[in-house]
Amino acid sequence: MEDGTRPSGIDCLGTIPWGTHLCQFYESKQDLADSLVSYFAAGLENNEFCMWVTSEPLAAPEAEAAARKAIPDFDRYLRREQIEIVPHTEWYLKGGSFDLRRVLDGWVDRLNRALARGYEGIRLTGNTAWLERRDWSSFVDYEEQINDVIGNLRMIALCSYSLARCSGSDVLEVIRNHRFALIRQEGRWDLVESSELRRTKEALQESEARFRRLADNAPDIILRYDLKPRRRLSYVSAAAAGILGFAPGELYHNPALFLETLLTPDREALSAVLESDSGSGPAVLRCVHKAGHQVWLEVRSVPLLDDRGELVAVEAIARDVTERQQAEQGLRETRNYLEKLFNYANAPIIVWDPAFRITRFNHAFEHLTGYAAGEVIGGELSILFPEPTREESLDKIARTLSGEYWESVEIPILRQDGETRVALWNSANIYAEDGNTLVATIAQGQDITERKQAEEQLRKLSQAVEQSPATVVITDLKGTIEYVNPKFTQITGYTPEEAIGQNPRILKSGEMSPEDYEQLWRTITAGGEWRGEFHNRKKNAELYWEFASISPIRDPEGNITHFLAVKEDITERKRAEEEIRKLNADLTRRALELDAINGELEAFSYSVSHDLRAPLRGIDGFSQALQEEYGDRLDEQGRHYLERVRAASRRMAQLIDDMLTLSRVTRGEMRREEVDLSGLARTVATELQKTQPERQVEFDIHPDVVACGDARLLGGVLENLLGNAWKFTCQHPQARIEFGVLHQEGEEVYFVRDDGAGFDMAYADKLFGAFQRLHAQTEFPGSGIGLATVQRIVLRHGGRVWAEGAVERGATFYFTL
Amino acid sequence: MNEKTILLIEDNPDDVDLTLRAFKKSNILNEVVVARDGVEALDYLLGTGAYADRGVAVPQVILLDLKLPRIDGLEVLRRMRANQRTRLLPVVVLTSSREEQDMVSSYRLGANSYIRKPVDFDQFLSAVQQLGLYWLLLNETPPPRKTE
Repeated sequence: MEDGTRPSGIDCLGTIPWGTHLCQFYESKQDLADSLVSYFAAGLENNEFCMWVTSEPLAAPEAEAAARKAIPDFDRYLRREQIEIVPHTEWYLKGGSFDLRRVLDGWVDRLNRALARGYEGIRLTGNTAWLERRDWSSFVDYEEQINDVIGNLRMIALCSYSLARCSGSDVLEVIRNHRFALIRQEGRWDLVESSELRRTKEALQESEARFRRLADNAPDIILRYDLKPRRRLSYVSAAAAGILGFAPGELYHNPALFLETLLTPDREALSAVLESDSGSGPAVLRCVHKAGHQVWLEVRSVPLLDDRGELVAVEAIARDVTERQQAEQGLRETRNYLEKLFNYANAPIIVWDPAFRITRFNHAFEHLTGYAAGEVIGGELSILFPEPTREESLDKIARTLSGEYWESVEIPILRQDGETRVALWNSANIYAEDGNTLVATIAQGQDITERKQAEEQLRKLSQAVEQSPATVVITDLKGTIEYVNPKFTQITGYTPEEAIGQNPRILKSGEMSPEDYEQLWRTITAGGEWRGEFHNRKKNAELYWEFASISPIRDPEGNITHFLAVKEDITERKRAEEEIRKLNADLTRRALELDAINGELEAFSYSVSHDLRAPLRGIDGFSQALQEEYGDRLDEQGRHYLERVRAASRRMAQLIDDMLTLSRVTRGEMRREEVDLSGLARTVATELQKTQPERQVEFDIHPDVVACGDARLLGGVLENLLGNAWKFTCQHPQARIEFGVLHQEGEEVYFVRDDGAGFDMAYADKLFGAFQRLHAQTEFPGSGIGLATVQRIVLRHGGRVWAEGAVERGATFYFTL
Repeated sequence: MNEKTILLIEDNPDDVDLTLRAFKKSNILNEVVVARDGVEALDYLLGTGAYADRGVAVPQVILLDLKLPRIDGLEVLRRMRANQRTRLLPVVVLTSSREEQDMVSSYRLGANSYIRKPVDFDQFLSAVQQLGLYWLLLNETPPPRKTE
């Protein structure tokens, strides 16, 4: 039933399409019963609603009995009301007379009800035995009209005429109005087709076959979709098998299948197309091929309306546009992809038209320039270039218009905030399809400002390394040399070619222990810095010392990638150190010698102090005893000599004491502290005045004179200098002694000035020598040790002492500390 | 035995004679015992050696020279101060030395006085007179200790 044909139940007829209106002429009641039962049995079996309008000679109960007898399960059909058997009086003549309109509407009403209940269609029969002559012509009209009605509906009608009751012309008229005429005579059927009918039928069949051939050979799917009496695919061309993978038969068999091939959102669109009563332009819908892949169909439809203007079906042509769609989609995707690539590329990309107006400006370019795309699109390209080089930049760009490609050209870019960045540009012209008309220029700029700075930095750093006065060696993690600087070659004699690829072991002299190397490796592989000295061997076998700092080089992730050794040739330093060590040893030895000498000197001094005085004491003591006990036995001269012996011994004792004082000055600890020289000077002055209270001496001691030094020794300086001043002014009735400090060339110069006897500057160099005297003992007593002591003390403080004076014009002694 | 004995520890016979002369001229008539070196001095004080049969001597004052044969003056002083019986005896260091270290060491070891012998006999005499006056007349010696 693929093409909508139904089994007729009548042997000689076979299958018939919906809309078939046929008639039969019967002779006997039995013939009538046989043909109708067989006709309805086929309908019931094929899910059709059956309607049997009975009349003479076969009344309704007889018809029912005949059907029950011949059709298995007849009562089941009856019970579910698939078959209705009504007497003609309750159908044709309901209401008392035959009303053509009412009967026709009744059939359509029955059909709609049957379709609503799920039947395929309706199969009916009516007997005209009730027909009176007077109603004949109006019944013929009815038959004619029923042709029109049935022809468009899922309806099959069989009209039975009694041969006995029809004239020849009646028969012809009946036959003309039916598609088929069947004659049942003596238990068998004859099929009568009118010649007109046959011609028409043949023409129609030929036409249909022609169109069907055209349709089936068309590359597009041609289909007819019925909306009434119910939705179904009533025709689909063979192209469906190729395009959708479903043969027409499969689609007919499963009325829902056609819709199901469509993707959900497009199913509704298809429904809209199919149910449009004004037809629709091309709609592109997605279907799923039986094999599972997607198929695009472009569907155009034409609505089919019945005479009442109602939409009953749609004819449509569906074209496979999958390739076109895929190409379009591919194009869209490519475009989308390119758009995204353009917008989100890391490289700043700009496009301008031949009039140098910016047409595209990607995010990276926004980032590079600080402009938003919206601000610059349509604007002049030149705003992106800083003034001093704008013309030059535009000129370079103009050259792109002449078809040149310029690659890796550095062009400065002016940011919106005024900052200038350097970009490395590549550009390409875009031409129209004719290949000549310039459409746009696309340029990609890479911000290399930082890179340039980094390169500059790198250039400086690498020069620093190249020119470094220190040896620089870089090794990989295994210790294989990758780089050496010129200083390395200068020191070791190995050229870079000889050194690279080697291990620094080539320098090993064997003087360093394996433990030291191990410790070095442990330190640097653990990420630490190793510092130490190597005693290495040059290429010429000469040994040299170097101080090395070896540390790891890390990548940005913190992984150690190399080791860096920075080494300093310390051979000279080592030599100097050795020298110093020798000198130190020498000095130590000398110091020891000096200590020994000092010790001896000390013992000597002690001995002098102790032992030399004892005999003097004896000389003086026994001289005194001699004087006292034997003085009366000596003459004046003898007593004078004894006096001279005693004076000599006392003078010697004084000399010994002075010598010891002098030697003590150079021995003993020095404790430096702040010393109040003014205070010390005042104390000395007071003591001096007590010794000779009768003298008229004015002391002018400047206040707050302080110095840093040993208080006891500085006290000695002041005692000597002030004592001298006191002594050498004694022959003047009035004297003045001054102590103070001068500030000369950032230095404190202390002085003691008197207005006494003074001295001759010609002898100034003798003033400070031990036991040197410029005056006679009788004139000014003294041992000549005082100024020597002053000089020693001042020298011990790291200072200088000198004097100015003139005979009888006083003297001034200066010292610094 | 005079109860106020002077122990003079001095090796130089000149100094011994001059000192004795100075005592005499100063009218100091106390017995003067002369020890010629440190060993003799300690034997005398502690009743050992040559003085073993004589017992402990307790002089009124001891005049101690520092530079002595065998055991020097500072060592004598140290041993005296280390011994209970001689610990408190007045010791006047009488020496030629004016070295600071000798003075400091003497006082640190418990010398009661430090006098430098002047070369001038007149000054020496004056010093001995004052010494005698002070140590023999004015100064009260610590009470004699019971034998321990």
